[in-house]
Formats: sequence, structure tokens, C-alpha cells
Amino acid sequence: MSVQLTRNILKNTRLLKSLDSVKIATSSYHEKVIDHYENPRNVGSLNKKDENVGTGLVGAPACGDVMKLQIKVDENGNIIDAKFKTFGCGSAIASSSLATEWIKGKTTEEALKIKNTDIARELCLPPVKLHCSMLAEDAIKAAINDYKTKKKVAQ
Amino acid sequence: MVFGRTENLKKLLFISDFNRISLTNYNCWSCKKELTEKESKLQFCPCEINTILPVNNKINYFELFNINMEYNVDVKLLTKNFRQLMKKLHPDLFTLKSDLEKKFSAEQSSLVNKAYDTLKSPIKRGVYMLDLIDPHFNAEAIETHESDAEKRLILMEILELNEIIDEIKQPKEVEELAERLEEIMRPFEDELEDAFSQKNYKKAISVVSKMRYFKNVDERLKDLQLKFNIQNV
Repeated sequence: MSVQLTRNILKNTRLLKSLDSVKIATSSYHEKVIDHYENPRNVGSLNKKDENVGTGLVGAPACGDVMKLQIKVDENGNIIDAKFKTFGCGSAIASSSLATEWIKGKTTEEALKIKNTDIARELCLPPVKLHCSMLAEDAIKAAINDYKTKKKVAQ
Repeated sequence: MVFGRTENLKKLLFISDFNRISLTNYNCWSCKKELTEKESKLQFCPCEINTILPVNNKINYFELFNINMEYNVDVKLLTKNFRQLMKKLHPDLFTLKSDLEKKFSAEQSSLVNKAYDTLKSPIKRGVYMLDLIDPHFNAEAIETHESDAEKRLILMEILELNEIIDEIKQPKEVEELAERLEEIMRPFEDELEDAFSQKNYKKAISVVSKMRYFKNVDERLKDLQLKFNIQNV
């Protein structure tokens, strides 16, 4: 009897604790992060064999997040499409989602000017999540770099 | 309710008891027997009463399970020792004991759980061993940069594994994924075992840094195994 009772109490306290952590987790994310997390823009893939597509693949060993960002560039150097696929925390997903939104319509040179601090500021990322926006900046650079290398080889 | 005042008094006593314990770590809180350093890392006082002891914070996970501090852990033995410890420490066994003993049982079993979870996982075990040898090593492991080609290969692998996980609907697929991840991790584990046994810590840091990339995939696999009720020991 008493064992059963303690088990139930333990179960309930565990339940309460988990409810608590859910509350904390949602309140610590800024609503902009949650918006991008729940309705991510431009999720998907582009054909990486296409010579007008550049693919950036980056990751951080500290958190195990991985981010793939692809761009499609027209003959004038304008980014006409961007897609991403991110496996990681909410901030990493939001950072890459925002990055694709921002680079679409820009030239590759303009896109290179996007800094991780811009992304972090827009999403109100806390200091511990700054590396997520850094990952997004690296992904943009890696994608543009891949596109440029492809073009050089083609020439 | 009748015992309300005595309970309060007891609580007060426990608090003062507890403070004393943290000051004199090497005496049993109950029988006052002087404990050697080794004995203080036990879970129970070696006297006849076998009172539960507080956690000695200096204990490492290998000592806790009474296994050699080697990367190559015998997981079956580890699991056996884990269950044996839990049979003695689980808070359910202490429901009729004093508050202090309840507290010790909760702390001891939570440590045992955490230690088991760490040593069972090849990734966490590597990180933990680096930490034990030198707390600065893991910071170095994060800073370590693989060659671009190597990093690219690892990231592509992780991306693919994550995509597979997204599509999983059946228990059979979970088992296939577990096998695949094991195949990927095995060469790392062998390398790490050699590095640790040769005390080649530079090498160990570099291998752990690669393994850490797979941490999330490993966690996602564990969640799936839990969801589909698959034993992973």
C-alpha cells in the first residue's frame, strides 16, 4: 500500500516537474524564435548537382547540431531561391529559417555581409544561443563558397 | 498531526546533523565509525547496521560500479552492477526510514542512474573520461578542427541519419538505425580505446571531438527505442 502510494506521489511530482520545465522552456524562447520554429520558412532541398546551386553544410561538435543551407543563383549573381534543413535546437532552426528569408533576392555579395549578430538581434537570442546564429552565418558563407567553386570549375 | 512538533524537532536535528556530516566526511553519520577514504565511497556503512551513507562527491563513476577505469567497459557487467546497486538504493526501499536516509537514498540512486547513463554510452563515456583525466581536455575537444573533407563526411552522415529518423515508423527501422549507428561508431570506439590505453590524450581529444557530432543522433535513437519499447542493452 504505502509503496504504491509513494510511487504515485513520485509519479505526480515527476509530472509536475516536467510541466514546470515545459513552461520554462517556452518562456525562455522569444516569440520570433517560436514563430520560425513552428512555421519554418523554406524548408527543403535543392538539387545539389545543379551547377547554379550552392550547398553549405555546417555543424557544431559542442551541441551536435547540423545545418544544411542551399542557394540557387541566377546569371546575375542574384539568389533566387534558398532552402534549409536543420537538425538541432529551436534557435538553430529559427536562425537558419531567418537566414534563408533574408538572403532570398539578395546578390551573393550582399548575402555575405549578413552577420551572426544581425540574426541574433532579430531573434533576440540569449548569449548561450549565439553559436546557433554563428552556425547560420557559416552556412550562408559555405553555400556561397560552394557555388563559387562550382562556377570556377565549370569555366 | 499529533507528532507535528516532534517532527519539526526531528527536522531541526537532521539539518544540524547534515551540516556536521558535510564537515566530517569520513565518519558514519549514524554509528560514528571512522571511515577510510575507500569506505566513505561505499553506499552503506560497513558496520552491522549497514546504514546508508551520503554520496562522497569525490567518487568517480568507475569506482561506483567497481569496474576498472578503462574505455573498454564490459557493458553486461556494468548493467549487472547497476541493477545490484539499485536493488539496495532505490528510494522505494526507504519509505519507512528517516528523512535523512530518504534523502541519501534519493541522492545515491540519482547518482547511480546518472553514472550508468554516462558509462553505458560510448560518446558520454569518452567525454567523461577526458574530464576525469583533465577538465581542460573537453574544451580542447570542442575547439579541435578536423580537416574540411573529414568534417564534411561526418556532417553528411549525420544529416542522412537525421533524415532517416524523421521517416521512421516501425520498430524494425529503429533496430536497423541502431545497427547502422553502431557500425559508424565502432571505428571511433576502437581508436579511442587505443588512445586511452596508450595515454595518447591528443588522439583521444581528436576522436571525442568527432564522436560528439553524433550526440544528437544518439539521443534521438534512444528516444525512439523508448517510444517503441526496445531494450538497448
